[in-house]
Amino acid sequence: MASISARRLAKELHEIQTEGCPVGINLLQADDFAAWQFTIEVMGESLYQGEVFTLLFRFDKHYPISSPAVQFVVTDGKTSPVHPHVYSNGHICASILGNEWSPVLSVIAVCLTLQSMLASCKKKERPPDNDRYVRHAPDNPKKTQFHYDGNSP
Amino acid sequence: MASYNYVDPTNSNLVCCICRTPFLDPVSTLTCGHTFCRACIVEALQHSSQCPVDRLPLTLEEVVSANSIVRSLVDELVVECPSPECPHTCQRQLLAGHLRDSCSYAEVPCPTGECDQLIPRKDMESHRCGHTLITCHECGTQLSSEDFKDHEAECLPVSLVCDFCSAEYSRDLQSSHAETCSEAIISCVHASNGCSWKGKRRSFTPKHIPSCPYEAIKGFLSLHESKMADLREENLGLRNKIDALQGHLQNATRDLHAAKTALGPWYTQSLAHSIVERSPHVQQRVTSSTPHVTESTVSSPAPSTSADTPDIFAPYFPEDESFSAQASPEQLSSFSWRPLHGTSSNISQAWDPASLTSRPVAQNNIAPLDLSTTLEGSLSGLRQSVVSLSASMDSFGRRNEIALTNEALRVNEEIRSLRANIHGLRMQVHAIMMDRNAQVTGRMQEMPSVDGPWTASSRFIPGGPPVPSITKL
Repeated sequence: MASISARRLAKELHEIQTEGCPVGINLLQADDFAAWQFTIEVMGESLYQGEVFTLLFRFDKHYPISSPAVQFVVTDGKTSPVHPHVYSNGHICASILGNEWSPVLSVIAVCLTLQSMLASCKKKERPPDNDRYVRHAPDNPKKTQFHYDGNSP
Repeated sequence: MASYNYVDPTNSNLVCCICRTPFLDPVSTLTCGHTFCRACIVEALQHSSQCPVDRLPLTLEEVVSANSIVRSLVDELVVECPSPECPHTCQRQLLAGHLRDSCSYAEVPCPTGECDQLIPRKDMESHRCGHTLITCHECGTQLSSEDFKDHEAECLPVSLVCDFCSAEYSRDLQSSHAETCSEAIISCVHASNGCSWKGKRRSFTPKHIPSCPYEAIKGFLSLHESKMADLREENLGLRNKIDALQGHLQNATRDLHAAKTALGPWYTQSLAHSIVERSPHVQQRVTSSTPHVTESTVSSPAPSTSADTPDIFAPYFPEDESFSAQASPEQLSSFSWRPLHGTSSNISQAWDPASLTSRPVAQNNIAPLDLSTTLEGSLSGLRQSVVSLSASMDSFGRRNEIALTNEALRVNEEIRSLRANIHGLRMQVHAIMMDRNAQVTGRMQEMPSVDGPWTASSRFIPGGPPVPSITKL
């Protein structure tokens, strides 16, 4: 069944290449069906004006049934946005990446959601338990059991 | 069918939002009406029990086959044949048939059915595997190519060497060479007649023939041979005839036996005895017995009738085996049934049912048939005796009726006289009772009120009024 994820990703990649990405989102690298990278920036008036972040998608063989692992890249001089739902190691606390993931969502849909999450931010600050979480956080954000509070997008 | 290559871009409404390809075996949710491939939604529900589109709770039971319109739309999408070389395109639902039956690039199993190779259909004719049958050029047998190598070794050499003349010849000439080889050892043509010569073929004609003793009497031998053949043929014909005759004889014997069985006791005796006219005896006997019966009926009606009546049947139910075969007294002097009539003990003995039923029935003893007559004579005699029997039965019945009527008249008269007597008696009693009654009532007038334990009864005073007062007897 691994081919289902490959075919689905091939389809999505084909759509991205033919139709292009939404404004503010660009495909950085998609050499295989295991990990893709996008750049994301918030367009228009926002706290993150002018900042460009890099998103890393990692897919397992159960995609799209299971969600992709999504995080901001914090290596090679890149940083994660300062946001109440984004940890300093790049992990994102968003319900659609966890229990609210649906197979009908796609890579581009995730990008757009995160874009709007950043755009709607009122105050640039880290999550309250950032330091504790970053100390023990696993490499893959999917292995974290996030507790989604009410104000997550 | 893992995947299809669709020729035209598909309407997005026919695309499963999970796998992003046109629906395969589409199913719809009952709760929210979304449509997915069956495999996609089954897997998604294993992961999370909600609809992937709107996240409403959803279980596998709420997923049913999609509307047939949707099914038809996706089944009619045009797809390419998955074989890279095949240019064929067709509706998706027809692709399986194309691959199975007609695609010349589809891989099919080896036609011999014994090897597990898959070969493109177009190469099937030219395909040669270990199981293909190959025809041996030497001997013409069909062998699979695996066995053919071994067979070639057995089949060789193609040319053989004669054992006698060491000449080489091809395999198919083997038999003809053996007949012509001049070095081969043969036996004399008269070997069947006893010549024991054996030698090379080339020395047979020049050397042996002149000296062979059988050659000299060749003419005689052939004549003898032909005669023998004739005799053998004749013998065979005769044997066939005997067989046929034996068959006929058996049939005849069987028929004869059947006839014997059918005839029963009539078979031998009818041949041994001369024809005797039987019917007059029967007539005579019946007429002689009739008066006797009549007499006994009239003279002593009550007791003897039951005992005497069977007399006329007696000959038909023989009392003893010793004379059961012959019932006609006129024919055999040793037997007479007439004396039996007088003694009732004899008759009752003869009519003992146990003796009738338990008596063994011998084949020859069929009373009262006379076996010394012909079958036809006996039959007509029997018929006549039945006729006379019925006549005598008739007359006996009538006489009996008359006797009964007479008797009834007499009894009636007696009854009448008795009744008169009774009437007289009754009158006398009545007079006596009247007298007595008068006495009682006279006494009662003297003592009108007497109480006592006695109860009145008018039973003894028929015709008189019931007496209300106590009667002291």
